[in-house]
Amino acid sequence: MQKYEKLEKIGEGTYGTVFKAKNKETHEIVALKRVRLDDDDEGVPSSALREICLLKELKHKNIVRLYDVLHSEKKLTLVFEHCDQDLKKYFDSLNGEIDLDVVKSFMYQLLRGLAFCHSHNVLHRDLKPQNLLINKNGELKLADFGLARAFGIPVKCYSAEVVTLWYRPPDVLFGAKLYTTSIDMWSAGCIFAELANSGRPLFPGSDVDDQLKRIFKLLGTPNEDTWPGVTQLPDYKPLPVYQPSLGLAQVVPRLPARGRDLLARLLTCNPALRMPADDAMAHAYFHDLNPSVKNDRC
Amino acid sequence: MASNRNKYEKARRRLAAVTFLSNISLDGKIRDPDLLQIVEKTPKNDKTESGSKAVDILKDKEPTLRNSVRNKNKPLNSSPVQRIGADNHSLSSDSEHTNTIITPVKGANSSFIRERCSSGNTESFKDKHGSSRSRKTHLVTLTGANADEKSSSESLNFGKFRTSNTCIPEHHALTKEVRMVRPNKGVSFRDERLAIVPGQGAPCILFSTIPYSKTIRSARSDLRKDGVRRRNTSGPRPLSAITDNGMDPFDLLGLEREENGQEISYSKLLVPSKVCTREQYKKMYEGDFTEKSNWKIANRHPHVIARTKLLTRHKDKKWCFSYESSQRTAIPSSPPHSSVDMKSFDWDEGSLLSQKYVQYCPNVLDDPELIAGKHRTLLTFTSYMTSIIDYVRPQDLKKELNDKFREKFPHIKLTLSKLRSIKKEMRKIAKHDSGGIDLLSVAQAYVYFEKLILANLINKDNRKLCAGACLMLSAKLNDVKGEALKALIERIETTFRVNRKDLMRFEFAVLVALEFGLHVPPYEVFPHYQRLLHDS
Repeated sequence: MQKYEKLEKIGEGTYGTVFKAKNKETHEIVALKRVRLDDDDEGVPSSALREICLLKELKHKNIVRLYDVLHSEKKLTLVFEHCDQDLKKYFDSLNGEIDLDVVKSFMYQLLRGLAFCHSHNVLHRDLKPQNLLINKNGELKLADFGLARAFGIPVKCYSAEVVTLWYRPPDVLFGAKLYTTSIDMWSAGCIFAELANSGRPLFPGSDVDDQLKRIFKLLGTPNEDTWPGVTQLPDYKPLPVYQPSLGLAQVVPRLPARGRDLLARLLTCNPALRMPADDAMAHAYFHDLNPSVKNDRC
Repeated sequence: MASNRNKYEKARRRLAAVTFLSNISLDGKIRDPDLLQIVEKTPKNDKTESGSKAVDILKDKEPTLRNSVRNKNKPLNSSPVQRIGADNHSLSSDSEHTNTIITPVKGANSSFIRERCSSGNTESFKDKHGSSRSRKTHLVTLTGANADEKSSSESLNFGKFRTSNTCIPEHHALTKEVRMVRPNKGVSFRDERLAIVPGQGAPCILFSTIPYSKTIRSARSDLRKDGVRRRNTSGPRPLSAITDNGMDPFDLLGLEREENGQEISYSKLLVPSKVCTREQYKKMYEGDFTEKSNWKIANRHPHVIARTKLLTRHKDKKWCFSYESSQRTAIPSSPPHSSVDMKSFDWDEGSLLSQKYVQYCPNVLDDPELIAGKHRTLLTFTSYMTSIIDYVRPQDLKKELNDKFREKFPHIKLTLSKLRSIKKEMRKIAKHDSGGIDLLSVAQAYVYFEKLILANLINKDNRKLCAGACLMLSAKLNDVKGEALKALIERIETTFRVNRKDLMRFEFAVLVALEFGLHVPPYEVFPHYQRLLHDS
């Protein structure tokens, strides 16, 4: 007998279909990811492999929980904790502007989940609003670890085809094959700005070049002085020289000065200077964070 | 002439027996293993050969010989010592050798007689030799024989032996309780060799447990140790599907398996494999590459494989031998999970698999120091040190290393040379002119494969499929995708001569066998990676 009763289709993941389902015994609502296994193919899809092996190690309040892995001859089913919606849908449901305390809370939870991943040697590599799940209690959880990978031993063979374009950092856009936790911090910065603007993406580029131009128009075109080694990156190309506009106040008008400072530290082109997650959590912007969010430990 | 020769032959055999016995000291140790060997061989060997060997003994152990000659004067059947040697009919045909035997006997005999005259009777002679070393040395100089300390101490032992023979019954009151050692979950005596060892000293009882079976010969693993070893050929094997032969990857790996399309739940495997605080992780990963030395330390382990023979010249111009465990010391407390204690090799079947994996140590199986033979001789001079590594035939070295490995991991059904050759093949698969996969993936695959071995899951039937599956899993987690992944799978198929379908089935089985624990900490991978880099 099946342990879960399928309720509805939630969507198509990077591999297979995602269903909302109910545990027949406990009546708990879960999300099921179905993965087809084909002997003649390449075996277990790497995204499923990553989710299983990495989420096994990542048990945290701000990271979606993998409850079970079901295996049969032809398919693999991953059973996840179910959340009501993702951040993208949350933005869509907003009528008007987002509460700035919610921005702070979500941003803090995002950083906390990220810090946990990074401390466990895992890069998420695909942070975007669709992959951040929100439940009724206002808890935010990182999800979709299908592109995540371990880091630790630096080798120049990490894939540069990672992170959805709008959230991809300039170093990866230039083809960097060796990156570290800074890759996720850039995405976090983009999401921070998007949160503050109630869901309007910060850099909605149409291709790599457009993406880079949009970034440099705001932050200034990097050179060997501001970012040593930038010209040596595999896909480096000279781009129009834009002066830093320092116009963050115009870009995120609702964000207070401390928030803008944090944003500027996250949106730093040179990955070596980008602020890491635990430092960001300690930033002055979070000093007046609701203690219930801050102290809520896993 | 013939009777004369016969007499010498008897004397020689008696001598062999006596020297053998005289080399057994109080604690049961046999002092001179060479001698023991000769004594054992003598009755069986070719006459000429045994004759010449006996000469060697005579030359070395002159004073002992003298004692044996004393025995000769006693009635033939009175000594139990005698019986041991006098059991065959070998006659020395080589008169030259016989002569060389005679000469020292004569010399010793006469000196012995002289000594005997001075000391009165044999009993006091024995006692004095048992207690007084200086007197003995004096005697040796008197006889003019090879007066080195070794031989004198050898005959000293003889005295000891005689004395102890009478003393033992007195001290052997049965005051000790009987201790029972039962086989339990972790310890099995099946097919084992057991030794009962006192607190200090050599084993006093040594025996093997052999299960009764008519086909015992094939079951005995120690048969392989001597003579012709079965070579584990891994070469051309028919490209047959393992699963077609009714074998299942899950069965082969001793895993539970779904039945009739039923789904099987692996929720119990989704427990984080490392219970490690954030601070510990930070410590380990943040300082990172400046602290590689920590990783190295973490990868040391207390097992001693190679021994160094130390040869030092003392002030009194004597060479001294000593054995030292080669420069290894157990580092008491570096990172918390790196401390390796013997528990990691406690094969408790009842325990969870994860406990076996907890303390994986990268260099424990394929010890990088396990490359040279038994001993190297280290010569320390005042200004420099040098070591001599004896030449060994490659197959002897291989056998020796495999034996050492088996001694260390008796449960593992894989020889060290096989492990190394499989790893080499994995490396070969990865390395390819047109875009192979990186060495980090290979290093990580090694970790998976060795963990499977340590969990006792690898055998002859599944090792190639498992090695291939490990490589595949590791590659997938290291961003190998698309064409590169396809090419890799094809190379695994051709190099290991496995069928794709089997490989895919083993992939999941291996994943389950590793308890989904493919996210391994860098300190487990790094030593392998470093060795790969070094070798390339």
